[in-house]
Amino acid sequence: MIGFAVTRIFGVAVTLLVAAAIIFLLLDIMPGDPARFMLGINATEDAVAALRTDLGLDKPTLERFFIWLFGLFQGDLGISFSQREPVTALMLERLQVSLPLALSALFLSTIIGLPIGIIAAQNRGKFGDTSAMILAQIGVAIPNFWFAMLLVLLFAVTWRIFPPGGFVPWGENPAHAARSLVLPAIALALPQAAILARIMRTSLVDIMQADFIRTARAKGLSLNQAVWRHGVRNALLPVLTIMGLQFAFLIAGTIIVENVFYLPGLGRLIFSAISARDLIVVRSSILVLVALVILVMFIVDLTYAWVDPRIRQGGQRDG
Amino acid sequence: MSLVEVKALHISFGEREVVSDINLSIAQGQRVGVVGESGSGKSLTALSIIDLLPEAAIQHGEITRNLPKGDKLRGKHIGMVFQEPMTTLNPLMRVGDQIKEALELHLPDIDFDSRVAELVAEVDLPPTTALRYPHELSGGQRQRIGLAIALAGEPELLIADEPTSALDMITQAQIISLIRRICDQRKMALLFISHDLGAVSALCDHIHVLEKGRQVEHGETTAVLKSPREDYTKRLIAAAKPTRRRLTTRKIGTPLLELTGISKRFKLPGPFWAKKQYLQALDDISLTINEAECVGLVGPSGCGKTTLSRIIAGLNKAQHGAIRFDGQDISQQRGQMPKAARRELSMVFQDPFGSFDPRLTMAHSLYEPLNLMPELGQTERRERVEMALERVGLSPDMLNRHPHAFSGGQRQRFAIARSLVLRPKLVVLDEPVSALDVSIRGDVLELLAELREKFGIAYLFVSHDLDVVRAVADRVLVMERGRIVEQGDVDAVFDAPQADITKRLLNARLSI
Repeated sequence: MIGFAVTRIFGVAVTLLVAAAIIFLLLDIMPGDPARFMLGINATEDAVAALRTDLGLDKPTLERFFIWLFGLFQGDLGISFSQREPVTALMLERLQVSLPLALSALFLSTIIGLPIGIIAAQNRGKFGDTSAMILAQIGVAIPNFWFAMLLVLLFAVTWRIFPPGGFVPWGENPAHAARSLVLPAIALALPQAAILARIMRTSLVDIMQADFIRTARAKGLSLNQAVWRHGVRNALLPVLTIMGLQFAFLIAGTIIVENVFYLPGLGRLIFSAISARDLIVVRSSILVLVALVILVMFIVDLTYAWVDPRIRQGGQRDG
Repeated sequence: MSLVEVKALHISFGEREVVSDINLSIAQGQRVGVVGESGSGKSLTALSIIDLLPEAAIQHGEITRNLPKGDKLRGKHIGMVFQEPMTTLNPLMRVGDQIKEALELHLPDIDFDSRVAELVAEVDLPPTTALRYPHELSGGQRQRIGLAIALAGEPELLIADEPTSALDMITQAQIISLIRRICDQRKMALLFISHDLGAVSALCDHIHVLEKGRQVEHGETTAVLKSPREDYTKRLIAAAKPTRRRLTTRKIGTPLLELTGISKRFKLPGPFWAKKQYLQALDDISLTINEAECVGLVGPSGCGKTTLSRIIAGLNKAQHGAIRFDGQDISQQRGQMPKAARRELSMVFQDPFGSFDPRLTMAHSLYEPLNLMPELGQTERRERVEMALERVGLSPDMLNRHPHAFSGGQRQRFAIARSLVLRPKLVVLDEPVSALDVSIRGDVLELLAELREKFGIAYLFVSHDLDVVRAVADRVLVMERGRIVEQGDVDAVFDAPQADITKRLLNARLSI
């Protein structure tokens, strides 16, 4: 297990470095002068030249890359051009919203989606299965911002249980901060739960045909016992991969829901940075997102290895 | 009084009846065998006795079990082992825990760990095996664990459904003698199900022969084998002793394929900083196959047979050594084997179900090799395919169907036809009849012999079945741990084996 983890950590480090280089180069090889792009067409030559010096654009590419990389190691993502603030501080502020939101949405979708998938698989072809899968189909089909608006209508306008939008920082009023994340988390979680339920069902239906389930039943276990003791854990393996991908989506792909609830999340930061042509924020946020995704995939890999001895021992999964 | 009595058992799926009117009884401590081919209903009969039929199955008839009432039937009074040792155990759980699970269900008051150790010892495995995961064990070891699980509840009856069919000969013989010993020691009854008459007759006092869901014949094993009444039984017995097939008019020619000093090793998985570990799959192999010659290749599983045949067919590359085919050195080429050689060398695989793309029509699969010969026109291509089909006894109007429309025997004929469209000089046959039911094995072997006689095709015949090899091969090579340990005329080697492994392979044969 430790050997496996060390190999993977090495892989993570290399991937991060390559990703940083690609992100840096992408924005660097784009045609045109970044300084002029950021200032717009009406800028004076003097202003552009000043910004170029400011951004260090007069230095060679490689040197700038290493300066940037060195800054990254120190937690310095540069100064936002449009907001005149350190990007690190901006991002940390936004992550306070995005990270708890993504985690709680993932948690909700898991505790809703997996049991539904398992129940559907156990009642395959029967009423429970059909109704669960119809629900899941609806959940996948309906866009989450519509869910979001419905939730606001019900819980914020009609019943006034949760705030309709906005966010109070954790430092000021933790309870209020938490409350303002409840509705967005549910809106984000439901479609994901629908996907998880479908994947879990398919995976478990497959596993239930497996020979070792028959062995377990021949041993004397009832069908339900065989499913819970032997089926679910095996069926979780493909579900884990999907959960990793979902987390990646939840951390940055939530801009529409952030807009509905007027939350200062990462998605909106990136969106406004793009609108303001703030390349520094764009570049840094992309890197942070990539790093988060790679980290999540690393955690998924570790979980895989923890669940599956075949991976732990360095072999390929053959199932 | 018998332990289990099955009377007029019928099993159907919807309208389709798959088991009709089966009667059998198993007395205390008796060993009963059920022989039949795939689709004969033998597994369903067994599953109905242990009450594990698939939900969709409808069962009629009477099954009387003279076993204590009130207790759990499965696991407690009837234990069962299955065919596929690779998939019958939960891959995520230590095998000892899987045995323990059965103990917890049926004998909750005992010391589980010491009982697990006893069971592991009873199936002749070292005590540490209990801590292993299934993928760390060989097929034979997993089958022993399966047996330990089945034995955990101290059952009065053990049902074994093809428990040795996926194992090599030596392991099969070991498992069969283990089952016999355990049945004797525990005075446990056995219902043994197999397509292999040899395995059944080695174990059982009484056998039932099933064909297409019907009971064809039953009786004392010795009596049925000595004087079978039904045609079907006679055919099964005959197929278990394949007829000898040798060249009659044609003579074996000059060397066609020559291998010198072929070595191949595979890197074993491990962390990247650790010292690399290798598995030496082939170690300095040299061999010759002559024109129109059939060379048998035998050995226990893992000896390198498959790697060697894949290297000859150009599917793998050797690290060292030279291969000459038809006077041309084909090992020095970088990348793929030259087209000219690929045309004249083809391969037939063991599994007729897995070796055709299910989404392609047979026509597509059969015409595909002809892409190696772009100079051929449309008419010539059609002629070639139709001629190949004719040679294997299939008709061209079958070509537009997909693989699932055909039986295993028909698919294997298609596979042979596919290997013939390029008119090869050498065909590598990797276990060409092992996945086939015994009654159609004879037909396929006959076909291969005929093609050799007519067209002078040479074969490398890879098989674990020594009787088949003796029937078809002129010469035999015996492999063990990546080396050829013995070779020579097939009769000479089998009559007076020199190498230890050859003797063990021959002893493991279950003849009837």
